[in-house]
Amino acid sequence: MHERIRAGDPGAFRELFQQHAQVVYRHAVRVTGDPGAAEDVMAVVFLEAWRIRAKLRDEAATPRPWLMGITVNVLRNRARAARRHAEALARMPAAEPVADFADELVGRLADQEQLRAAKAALEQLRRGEREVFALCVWAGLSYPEAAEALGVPVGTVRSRLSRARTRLRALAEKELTRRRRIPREPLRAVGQQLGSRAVAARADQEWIG
Amino acid sequence: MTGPVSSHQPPIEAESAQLLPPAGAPALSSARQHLMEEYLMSEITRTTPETAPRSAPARRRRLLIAVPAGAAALALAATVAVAALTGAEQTGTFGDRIPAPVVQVAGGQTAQLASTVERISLAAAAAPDLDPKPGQYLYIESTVSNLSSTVDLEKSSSKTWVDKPHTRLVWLAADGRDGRLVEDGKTPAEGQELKGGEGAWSAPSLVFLKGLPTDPQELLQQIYAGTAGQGTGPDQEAFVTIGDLIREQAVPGKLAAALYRAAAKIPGVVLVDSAADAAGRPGIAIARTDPTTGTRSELIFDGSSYAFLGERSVQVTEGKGVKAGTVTANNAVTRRAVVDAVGLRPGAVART
Repeated sequence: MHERIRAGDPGAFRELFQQHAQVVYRHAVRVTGDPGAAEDVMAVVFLEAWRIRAKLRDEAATPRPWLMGITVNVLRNRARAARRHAEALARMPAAEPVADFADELVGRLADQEQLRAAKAALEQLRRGEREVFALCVWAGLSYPEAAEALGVPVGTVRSRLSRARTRLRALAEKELTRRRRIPREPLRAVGQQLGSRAVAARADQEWIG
Repeated sequence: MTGPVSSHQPPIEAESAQLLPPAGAPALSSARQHLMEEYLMSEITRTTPETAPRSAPARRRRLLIAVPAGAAALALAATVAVAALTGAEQTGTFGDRIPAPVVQVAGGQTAQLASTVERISLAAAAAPDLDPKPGQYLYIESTVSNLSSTVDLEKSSSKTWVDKPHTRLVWLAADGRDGRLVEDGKTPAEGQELKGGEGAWSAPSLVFLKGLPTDPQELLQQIYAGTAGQGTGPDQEAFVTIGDLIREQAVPGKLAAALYRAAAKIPGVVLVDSAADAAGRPGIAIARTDPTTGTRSELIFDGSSYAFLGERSVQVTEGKGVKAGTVTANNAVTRRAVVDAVGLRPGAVART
């Protein structure tokens, strides 16, 4: 596979796309929080992979870490990467219209909501931590794979992930404290907690105060 | 496709995953993925030498050989039959495609390989050379059909599609690889300018060819040395490189003879009694099956005049969801000539 890709075999490139399109796409969706932008990122990643295919090395068992490394670079500088492939991107087929089945629409909205929340939280991290987190936790890369993708030692991946965890935990606690002060859903607390006047009253009180 | 998350996820990751909302992993729809696949394949096989990396020439060749397919007499009949069964010609965003033809895989043999290659070589050496003067262009006209897709939208079962056989015209400058490519459904109607540099093993210029030795053994050694580390293995790479040298060029007769004799020396090369090019012309083939992919690359020659006709790639053993007998690529060189200007068809007179 590696050799055929380096040699410029379009068949090998097709296999590369078939096997890794989803992992690249999903990583891009999570980091950008935008399915449309993620498609552009995915297209640029594969165009870029083709352009620099001679640099693919045999070190990993699959081209996945290499491809994710390209993805990370494209995400770091989307504008520059898009400029390089502007001509090709102009030829990209238009996005499919959103299906209007109610279920699917609700699913999409829920996805969007979740994506936004995840992206907001991720943005609290430093870039290096964010990248390691997205690769190891969400995309499921092993430490050595993430290390190869990012071009850093395995130890760095480990320590960044550990820092990311510490920071996220601190953020989570801060968030909890904040929520304790300001109830998130005062209206429902008042209107629905019929069997528990005390809770409702307290919620109401806190909301007012 | 989810990332292969290990079931023994290290605790850090497991805990971290709980600290952040599990990023919902919206997948790309299969229809969209398929469309993007076609789009990207069309982008990378687009001839854009100005943005191509150093090893770009390999791309042209793989397009035709490692992947290459078509509508031979047999194949054409098969195409029609399969198309009728599946309901199926499709007009894609990037040209028409048809289900890949499936043919009976003819066995190969070595008993008559040497004597047949000798006849092919003698015929090549006796043919008149095309020798464009500086400022003139080589014109090569062919019919081609290459692998288009193996993705099936509805089922997990895969299906192989190829481009509908179409015309491909190439003009190459006498002194290099600059010129023009016009390919139905692949380039703009007025064509794509080629800026190909000095030529290389997988995309030779006439100057490059004229610098090669005409002793088969010496030539073969140079081919192995020049393609080391490429492709799926040295023998297969040497064999497909010979196809690359011949396909879209005007190889001098003496060199052509040496190339065929060299091909016969590559381990695993066989003679196939029945093959057909993309124009439907039947012939015999010097062929080699790539042991890693199960694809047989065939150089096809006329059975009586021994002239080179074209190439075909046939899946000999099922692999990667492609059924045995599937013709994944096919081409036929239908005309080679010298013309006075780029874009000019043979017989036309250059305007002054």
